[in-house]
Amino acid sequence: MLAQLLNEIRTIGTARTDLLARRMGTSEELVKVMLDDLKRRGLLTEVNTGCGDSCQGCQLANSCLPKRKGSRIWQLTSKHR
Amino acid sequence: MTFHTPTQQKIEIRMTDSATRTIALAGQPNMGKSTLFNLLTGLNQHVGNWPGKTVEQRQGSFQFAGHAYQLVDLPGTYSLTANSPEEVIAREYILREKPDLVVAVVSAANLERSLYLVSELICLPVPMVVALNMIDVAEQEGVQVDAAVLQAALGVPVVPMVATKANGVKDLLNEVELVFQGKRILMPRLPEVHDEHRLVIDQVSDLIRPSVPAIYPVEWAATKLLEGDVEMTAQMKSLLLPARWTDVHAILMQHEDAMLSIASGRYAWVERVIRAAVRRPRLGQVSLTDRLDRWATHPVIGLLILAGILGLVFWLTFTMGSPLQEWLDTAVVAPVAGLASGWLSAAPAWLHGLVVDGIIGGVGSVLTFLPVMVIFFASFGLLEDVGYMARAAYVMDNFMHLMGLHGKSFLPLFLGFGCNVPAITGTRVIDAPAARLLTILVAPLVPCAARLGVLAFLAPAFFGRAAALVSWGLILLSLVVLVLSGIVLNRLLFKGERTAFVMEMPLYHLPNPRTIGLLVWQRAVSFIKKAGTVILVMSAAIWALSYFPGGNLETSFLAKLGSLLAPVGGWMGMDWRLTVALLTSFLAKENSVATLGVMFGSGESSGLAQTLAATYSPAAGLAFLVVSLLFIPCAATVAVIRQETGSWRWTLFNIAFMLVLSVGAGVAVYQLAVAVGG
Repeated sequence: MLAQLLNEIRTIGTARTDLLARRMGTSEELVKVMLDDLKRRGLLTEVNTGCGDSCQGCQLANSCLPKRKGSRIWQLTSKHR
Repeated sequence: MTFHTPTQQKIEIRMTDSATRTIALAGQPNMGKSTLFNLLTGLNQHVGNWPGKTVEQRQGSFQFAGHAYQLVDLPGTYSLTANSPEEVIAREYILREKPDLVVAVVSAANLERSLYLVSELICLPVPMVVALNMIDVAEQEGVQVDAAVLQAALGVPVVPMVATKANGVKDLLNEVELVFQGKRILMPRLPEVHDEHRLVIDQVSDLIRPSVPAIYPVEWAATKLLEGDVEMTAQMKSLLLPARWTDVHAILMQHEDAMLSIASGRYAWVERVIRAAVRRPRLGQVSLTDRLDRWATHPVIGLLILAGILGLVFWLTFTMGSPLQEWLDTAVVAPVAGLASGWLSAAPAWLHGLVVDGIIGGVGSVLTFLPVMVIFFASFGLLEDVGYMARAAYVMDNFMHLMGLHGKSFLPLFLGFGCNVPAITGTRVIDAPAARLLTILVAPLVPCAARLGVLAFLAPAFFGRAAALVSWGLILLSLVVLVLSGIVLNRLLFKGERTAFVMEMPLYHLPNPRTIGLLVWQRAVSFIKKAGTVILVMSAAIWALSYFPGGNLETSFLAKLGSLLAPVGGWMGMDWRLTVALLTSFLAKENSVATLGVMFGSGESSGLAQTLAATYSPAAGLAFLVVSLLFIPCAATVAVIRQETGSWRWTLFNIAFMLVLSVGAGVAVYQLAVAVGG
């Protein structure tokens, strides 16, 4: 299933967890667990969607708009190749 | 309900000679393991460190049904592969110390996450009971777990419980007692391994069998080697003869895919267990999210919805904000200027000019668009809080792919709506240098909050009731220019490489007024601070340039500078004042309004907006707004472009690119507007 998930991500480009679950015939919760597993294996990395270190000192750092509460984003690392 | 797996083994209960039975508590972090430990052991616990590690070790004791129990709280782990010291400790304890029984604590609310560890524990030769914790949380979240089916699916006892309320703990201990009495037959159902890798495991097992330490089951050790387990690999490398290790290593190298395949077998096992035992009716929030997302994330309809929402935000901003802005301009700034003028009537002319025209005219004008900013940010805060912004990012990403832009670019570009500075530093998420450079170059084309503020201030002055529509069109124009620039630069700089992303969409939910209020407050404070610092200094400087040397604006240094730029401004229907206002926006985008405020005065009879509307044609106003949106980035953005590209050449290229683009667009828009009848 992990290999299938990795292939789906490669194929789709920009995927959503709910759509991945539908394509794989499994639950979105299990897809998220597997994404975290792939992250621990270094095949994915989680993108910081809020302000990072580079925003230190910025007055808007605490209120930067796209913090996307409850929403995470993963991206493939070069290791998957 | 049927559950089939061909691989089964019967676990025999080892009758312990010791009077004390040892139980190990295993589980992932945050599954309620420590709560259960505290509940069972109370004060009879000892806290120390695991031998040779800095990881905390907790052991305790308790009595039940006339038996003494020793309870060992293993560190929370996600798996039994040696990825962390905790994982090594947990598996080494189970294999070396051989507890009489393992209690695996899992969360009923999140079984998918909990069961992977169980899929590994179940393969070890130790009896196991599953504590199905947090059933109350699962029920609250609408997750129905059938413990009896789960038990049948796992082949080991499952006891539902709520550790925080001490519910089900006695049932758990009774079940443990039954296991020790041999009244429970443990027939664990194990994850399957792909046939191809089954053969490889057998092959590796045969090679390592003579050298595997007695504590490890041979097949388990072979599986860990195929999974690339660092600890096991190091051990076997040191234990096997070099020639034998070379053979093993060659097999492992041939089957690198086994690592994912073995884990996949475990996930397939988890999925089968979940499918059998868990019901998750898609009700309420989840169902609503599904239905809304059919439209909100649709590649075409989603974009139309996004455009519609942007339009609505601008309509709201102007409908509610502009009257407030006008009121502040005429009822607060103008009287304050009048009052100050009266107080300073006896003061030197330069001081009068500095305070009334420079500070009040400049800073006052900028401060009047605070209500517009507040409404604008409240609207975006609301969209963020209900969960829409993630959808906006998703549809924009699809759109950017269609247009040939790099997939990763959407994240930093999206940050640009707040401020271009984090947008450019945010490009660090992009690995490919060319793609990163492209994103940096187009990021300043995202209309930042300051530019949106200027737009929100000036659009009603020039276009009255049509301001929302014009602003909406200008924002779309900026985005179209961004995409077209992306396409052109993309073709020049890199060949359309695409990096894969996965996004999790949050559930839609009712907005929290406190969260939105906090966001608006922080942004408003930030805006006021900026008005009191950068814009104050710039206003004073602009006033000085507009006053000296002769005390007359038309013969001032500023006018001389403006006259140099006037020919270019003329192509766009702008006089030297508008051209200079654009130029001063380099330090901070709001400065263009401050500069106009200084040059036109704070207006004793009418506000700046009305004065501008009376002075310039809508065509000139439109050209000014277009150029403002696309003009060279502010000084902070330029500095960060230099920092992130590490190149003055690209920094200057970006400035030149934006200058040509903005002036070109300004000329085109002005000439078109005049031709149409503006």
